[in-house]
Amino acid sequence: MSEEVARKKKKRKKERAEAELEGEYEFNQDENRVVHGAASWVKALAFTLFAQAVLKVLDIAKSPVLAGATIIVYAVLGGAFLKAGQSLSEVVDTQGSDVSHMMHALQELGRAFQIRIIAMVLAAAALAVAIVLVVVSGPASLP
Amino acid sequence: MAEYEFDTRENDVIADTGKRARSWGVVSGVVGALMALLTLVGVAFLDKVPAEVRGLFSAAVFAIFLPLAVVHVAMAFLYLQAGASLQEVVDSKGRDVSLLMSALDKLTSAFRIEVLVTVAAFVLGLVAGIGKVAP
Repeated sequence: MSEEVARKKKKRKKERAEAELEGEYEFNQDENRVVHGAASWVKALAFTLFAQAVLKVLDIAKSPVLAGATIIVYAVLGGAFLKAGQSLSEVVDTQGSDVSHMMHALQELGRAFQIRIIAMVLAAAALAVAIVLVVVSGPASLP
Repeated sequence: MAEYEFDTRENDVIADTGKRARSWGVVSGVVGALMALLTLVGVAFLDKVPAEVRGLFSAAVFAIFLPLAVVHVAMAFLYLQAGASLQEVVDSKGRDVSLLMSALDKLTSAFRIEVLVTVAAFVLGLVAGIGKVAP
């Protein structure tokens, strides 16, 4: 009789735990390994972007506008990648909100890609303007 | 066993990230193609470059443009594949988590290449800088 009570208690405990986690899928060990790898490299990328922003500070005296814009882009990109990396780490480290953390990480990655695309388009436009200025008025016309 | 299916809101986030990953893949591919073109132009005009700067010019072509072209094309390939996998998560049923893991794997490869190339470029720049300063 007591064995049956204990079994029922154990079953109820298990059901409660499952109910608490209900709605949020839990990634398994193999999936967590993939997510952990992604988190590590996304964070590493964020730190290389921060490092590039710091190195660009050395160029501020030479070309303040270009260096300033580059520092801002690197810092914002680094921030987006770092947030994505942290959310991916949370997928692995926490329980009960794996999918929410994964969605947040994907949103931040998407934001980082968008910033990169906009920065690249602006850089290409600036390069085109610089080429036109050099062709029309000579190199002295460049800021 | 059936895999977890992402709901509509989650699919929107995944589709959006997939679209942006593909767009970045296209941009990266264009940059790679331009670098490859610069390499070809550099090689074609190598004999027209004055002898005293030819070494520097060919170093720029073969040490900067060519590796950057290869890296950008490789990254473009990985970002396009990751974007396609993310789109498949939205379009298919029954394999959502596997496809998401596949997309993450490809993104990880692209990020790894980017980090390693940046670190290598930094080390090369440092070595070149030390070489310049050293008597």
